[in-house]
Amino acid sequence: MKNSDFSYIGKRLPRQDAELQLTGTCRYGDDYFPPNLLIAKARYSDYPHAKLLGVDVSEAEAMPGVAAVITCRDVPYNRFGGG
Amino acid sequence: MLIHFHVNGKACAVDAAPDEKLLDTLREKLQITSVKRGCENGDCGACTVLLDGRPVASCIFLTVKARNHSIQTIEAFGEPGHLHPLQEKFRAHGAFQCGFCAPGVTLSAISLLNQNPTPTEEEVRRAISGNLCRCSGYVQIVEAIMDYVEERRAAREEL
Ligand code: FES
Ligand code: FES
Repeated sequence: MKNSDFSYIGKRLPRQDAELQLTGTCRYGDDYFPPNLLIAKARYSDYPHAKLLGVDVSEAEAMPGVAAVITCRDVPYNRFGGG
Repeated sequence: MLIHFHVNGKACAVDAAPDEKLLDTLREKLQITSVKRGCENGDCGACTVLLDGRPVASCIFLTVKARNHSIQTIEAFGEPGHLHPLQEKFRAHGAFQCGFCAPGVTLSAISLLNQNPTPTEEEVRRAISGNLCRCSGYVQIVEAIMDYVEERRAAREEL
């Protein structure tokens, strides 16, 4: 069999998604805005290299518009740094 | 603060906070997601837009500074089914992989070509040096732009 017998093998083919990518119409993960989209933010410690004695999330939970505050306690299995 | 500017030839008015970045205004308020959020540090160029024809990193550009200026995103140059001839070259050369950098690279290249229709390869590389491509290695991107430049040069000489 020669390459000319095939429809794709041995041929230069334009990428199917090239046009979408080039025109910016291709949608990546953060280009989706579904209804009721929630925004997650990470809150880091104010102190580098300190011992974490406790996390009080009550103030964050009381803030208007906050749907959830998630800490390591919400993760069932903590291999690292769990408490 | 109500800010007036033009986006792709259309007059827009947005209510922007004093510290709001143009990237957030364009993506979140105007839903122009072709403007990509990469590093948010002015390093990668994924968020490039043209401000009065010159490329700027919209992630470190305050929306209030765009007041009364004219902004162009990739939508101003091509759309599916009607690609800009430079976009055709990118496609033919298989210049991009994931394509995340493509709108920014294209805008930087178009801005250069508007100022200098016959750049050298060196000048092309310098013009897109603010656009980091995480996948492709730039070879086909530069080849595609030079192919476009040569084709235009030949077309002009024929006249
Ligand atoms: S997101 Fe603006 S330069 Fe990277
Ligand atoms: S093609 Fe993926 S970043 Fe350039």
